[in-house]
Amino acid sequence: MARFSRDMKRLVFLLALAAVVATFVYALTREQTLASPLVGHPAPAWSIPLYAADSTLSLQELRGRPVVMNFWASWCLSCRDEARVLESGWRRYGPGVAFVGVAVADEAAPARAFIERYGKTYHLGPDLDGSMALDYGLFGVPETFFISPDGRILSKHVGPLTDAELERRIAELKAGVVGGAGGDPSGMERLPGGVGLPDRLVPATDPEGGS
Amino acid sequence: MKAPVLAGLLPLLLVAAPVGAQQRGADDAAAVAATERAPISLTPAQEERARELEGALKCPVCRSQSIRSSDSFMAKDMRRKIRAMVAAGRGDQEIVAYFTARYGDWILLAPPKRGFTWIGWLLPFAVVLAGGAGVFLAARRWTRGSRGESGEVPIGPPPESPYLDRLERELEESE
Repeated sequence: MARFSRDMKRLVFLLALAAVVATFVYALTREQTLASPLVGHPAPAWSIPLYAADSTLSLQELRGRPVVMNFWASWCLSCRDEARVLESGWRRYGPGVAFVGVAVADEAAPARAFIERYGKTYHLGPDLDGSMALDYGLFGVPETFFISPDGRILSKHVGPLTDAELERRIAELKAGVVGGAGGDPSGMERLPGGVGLPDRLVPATDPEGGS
Repeated sequence: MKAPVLAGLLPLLLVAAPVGAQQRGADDAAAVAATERAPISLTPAQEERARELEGALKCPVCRSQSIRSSDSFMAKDMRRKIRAMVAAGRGDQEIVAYFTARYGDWILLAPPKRGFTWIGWLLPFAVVLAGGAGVFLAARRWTRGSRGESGEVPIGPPPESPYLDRLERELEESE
């Protein structure tokens, strides 16, 4: 009986230790980039200059339409995969659904080259002072926010979008469903460190063979 | 006939509208932004507040590093945001709330003392206390083992010792 009691004590101690270790491992390894307290709340206001026009565009001007707002950068490899998805989405759903691309931590010349290379035709402009990246709680690129016609963030997608995911998110957006945050953080590239602009700017020659 | 044709062309015109227009907009704005990013001067007291806030917030693109010690893009933008808010007369709580509203409590280097995060604060103390209690109990057990259950150090050999029996027998024989 005494031995049984001793074994039980050991078992309880080991289980408690395992629970503590598991809690710490979970806390240290869980992916923070997916969560966003902004989901379900009003989207922070913004106004950006457009690359393709001598004018600016603000979120206020898009009021009344669902908005797909994508943060990207010319140095981001995942953004290349996503560029075609967003452009075809814009051609399919626009202008009823507004598409906006915001270049972060980027320079004008490589950003323009990227736009031309991937034939992007929706509204595109830079986050000049990094304020939009902070206002939207960005960790990296690409990250995409889905904003309802009345200006609320209904969902956030981390990493490159696929055609199917974009279709699903837009259907949620049109239905007014708060979809939460999701995606694939492994496809997201964190905003760069160091002084100056990112090291990995778009190369002079297209690695995919295009012009 | 013209109306249907125009209606058919409208989506194409809307799609093509942003393309091929003048390209000065973003570049001019970049030049303006560069001039706007001049250093924000603060009083010594405000500098101290800004530095404390910078030390309390985590850099989103680094691993457990404060924005004060990080040289990343985002850390620099966050430092600038803090300085601008301090210069504008915003309170510490208001400034911290700006960041937690966007990144959650994760952005704080020290988690707030509420709810589940209390475990994070209390667990180290609990572990130290449990360790201390364990060492105390183990030490007491070891000393008891060498002294006997009463805790007193026995004098002479134990009563059932064969040497004691032999000694008593030999003493009796010699008498």
